[in-house]
Amino acid sequence: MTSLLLEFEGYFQMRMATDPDPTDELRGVSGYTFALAGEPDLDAKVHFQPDEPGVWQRKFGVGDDEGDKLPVARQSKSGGPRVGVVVTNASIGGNAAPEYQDARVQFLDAQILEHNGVLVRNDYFFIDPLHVRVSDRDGNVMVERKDWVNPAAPDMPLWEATSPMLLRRQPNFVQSNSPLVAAATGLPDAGNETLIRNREARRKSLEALLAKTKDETARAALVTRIEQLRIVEQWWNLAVGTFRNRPIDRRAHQLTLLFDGWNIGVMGNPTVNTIGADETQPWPLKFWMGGWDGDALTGYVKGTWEIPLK
Amino acid sequence: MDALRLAAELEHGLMCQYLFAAYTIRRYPYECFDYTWNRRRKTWEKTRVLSEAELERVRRWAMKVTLIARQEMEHLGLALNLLSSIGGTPSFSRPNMPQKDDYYGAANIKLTLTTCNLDTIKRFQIFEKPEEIDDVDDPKQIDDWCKRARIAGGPAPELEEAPPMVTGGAPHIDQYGVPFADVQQLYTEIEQGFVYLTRSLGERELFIGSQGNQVYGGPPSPLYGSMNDLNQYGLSLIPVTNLQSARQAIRMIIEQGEGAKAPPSYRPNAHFCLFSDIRMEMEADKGKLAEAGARRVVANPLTRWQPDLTAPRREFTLIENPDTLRVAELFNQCYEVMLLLLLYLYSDQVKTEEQTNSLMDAAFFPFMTMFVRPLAEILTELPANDPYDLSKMAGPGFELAGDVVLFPNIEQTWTLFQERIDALVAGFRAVTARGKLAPPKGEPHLVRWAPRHDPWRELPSQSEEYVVKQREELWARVKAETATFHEEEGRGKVSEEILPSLPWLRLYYLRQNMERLGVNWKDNWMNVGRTA
Repeated sequence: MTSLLLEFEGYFQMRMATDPDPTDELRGVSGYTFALAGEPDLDAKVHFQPDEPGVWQRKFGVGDDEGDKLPVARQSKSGGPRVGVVVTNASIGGNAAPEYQDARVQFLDAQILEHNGVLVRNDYFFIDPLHVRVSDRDGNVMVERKDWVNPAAPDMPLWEATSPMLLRRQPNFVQSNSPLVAAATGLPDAGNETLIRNREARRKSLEALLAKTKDETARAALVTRIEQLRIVEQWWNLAVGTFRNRPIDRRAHQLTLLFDGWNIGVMGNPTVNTIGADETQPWPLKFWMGGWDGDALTGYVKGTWEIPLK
Repeated sequence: MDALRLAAELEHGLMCQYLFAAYTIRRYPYECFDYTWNRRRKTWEKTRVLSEAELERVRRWAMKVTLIARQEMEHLGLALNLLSSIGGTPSFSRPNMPQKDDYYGAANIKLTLTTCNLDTIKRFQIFEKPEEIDDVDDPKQIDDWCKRARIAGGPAPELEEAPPMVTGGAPHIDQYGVPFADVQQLYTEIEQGFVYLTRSLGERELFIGSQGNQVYGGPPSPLYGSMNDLNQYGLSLIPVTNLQSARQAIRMIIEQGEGAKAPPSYRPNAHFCLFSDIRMEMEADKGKLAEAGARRVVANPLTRWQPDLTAPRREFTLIENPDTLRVAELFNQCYEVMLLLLLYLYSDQVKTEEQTNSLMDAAFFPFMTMFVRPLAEILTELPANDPYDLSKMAGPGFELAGDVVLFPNIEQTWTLFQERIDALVAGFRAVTARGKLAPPKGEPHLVRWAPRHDPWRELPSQSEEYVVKQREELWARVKAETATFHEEEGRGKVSEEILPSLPWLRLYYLRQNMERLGVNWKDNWMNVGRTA
């Protein structure tokens, strides 16, 4: 049987609260992610495209734009991440399929869930809903299919999910200091020193931006971001290390943290199928997520979707 | 042991006060406005009290106060680790609030729950005052201590060999017979006690407790390096097994709190200095931003009169609004279950490493973060009494009905947890009864659980279409989930016409989380997909 293989990657946005804020926190207090002054509430959704409702892209330096409808680009003018997950390579039966190049990939309304241990523990995030859409460059939907947590009862509330159902939608492993993530996001390496330098460079870029910013609301938001970017080591940790030699803080550490091994045979009823896909088969979706930038509220995703054709 | 129990009680009391204050700080954009009910026009009128930039500033205060409160949790944990290390019985008992001014003698530690305003921050600043500071109103002294490090620094002096005054006759005696003028002095006494007893008894005879009956993170913890390592959340919890670790724990407490003996570079992060910073910011406009930035929460909101209260009646408010009262009771129950979970970790009941890790997870994530905190926050947005009076909101009273104790048998303990969680499920169902969501008859302006109209829609930073869509989706999901009502919800049908308020939707979210926990808690907690 011939299959269409779509390889996709890019930055996604996820404006979610972080521990120890509760998972329904809308603005952020005790974690390190915030809906800042002038920004909409945290929506905790995974956004692969910049024009999805709920996206708010920040400035990373002088000359950047901000807002909710910036065009797809890998980087802002000052080098910060910009949202946009697209097909980077496509093939049918091993032969190139250029008509899918740069197609837009979306996980519609997806959330990376754990409910602080109620649903799953130790941040082995459960992704739900899983509703995958591929559109062409003009936004015309080519194929779309939803996966069910429980095929026998698609409307089952998530709260009733059993352990095997959860396992199917969780990553297989988590890895710190991943070279894979560093390479994808353009970091020279995955070492802690590099991660700390990256945060310091971002901070300096924001300080320059603050010096040129007059609007009080924007200034207040930048001050909070700069304060957070100053925290690159666990300064409070008096039990490990010495001053300026404390363990790296998660704000920097997570830049190369990898959640890998999602491998889900998407098997709900396809809602759009313009490509002649075989709807009787599951469509294997493999991907990793990582490179979480708590200042930008973005991460990186890379994966493949294999769609059997009739 | 008495001194350590007192230290734990103090840390617990301070933590509750700091948390209460932090939860009263505004942070939603709609809180840039105050709403008052115009009885003649029968409309809500709004007045801008904060700009969005000011809201961001007060959020930064909340972040600092919350961090300090978390570190007080660490200090409580360290005090209990110290107690457990020498065979003591850890306890979460503490007096309810408010208490009379001299409850702790001359130590100047007032037990009371108040909003985060200038007076409150001044009180907190005094709690954390290092002995080296004579006058907390002298900015130069504070600047020297916090910023320039002129006064202190250098290694800690050697301790005297004289035995500590652990029994009677002290100038500032309290019911424990432990003399102390402030928190720093109490810990100095405790450190001297450890040194003296180690020298007189020997380490082996003194440190007889099991490390398995302590709570800690970092390298010694099996969770080290994972996302659930406690030490990554602004904490630094260590196990206590000998004199060196005991002294390290004590030193960490006073380094983080008062900044005493801390390296000068650490000082700006000491609790005393952080509170001093907030105070200075508040005083810059004579406390106006502080007043505007705090929710209108009454002092010491209680569900009932508690028999151990010693403060005058005027210092506390009994919550009379029936809906708010039920939420406040739920908060107290969740708080108690969280303490029970923590107490179990300190107990000598047989438990495997997996059970220990699971229970530690349960106490911190989710009980502390998903139930105790959200309920506390929700309470500060609910009226204490008159639903039309938004100048008197409720808050978390942190009430304890007595000592927090475990059953001696492990199976009874599991059953105890299940029973408590079942009761909480019933409680959440009762407060989120969907059939009762409509406004009371004849009062269409009252939206149940948040008696204000929906101000979100009028703010430039909030997309009206988006916010409304989000809430409509949530509400649609709630309505679709089940057509049947649980017994605790009573009779009725889901109202079609009303869009529930944010506090109600948050309560419903908590209810779902608690229902999930309640399904055969013991088995499910140990079996939740992949954990490592």
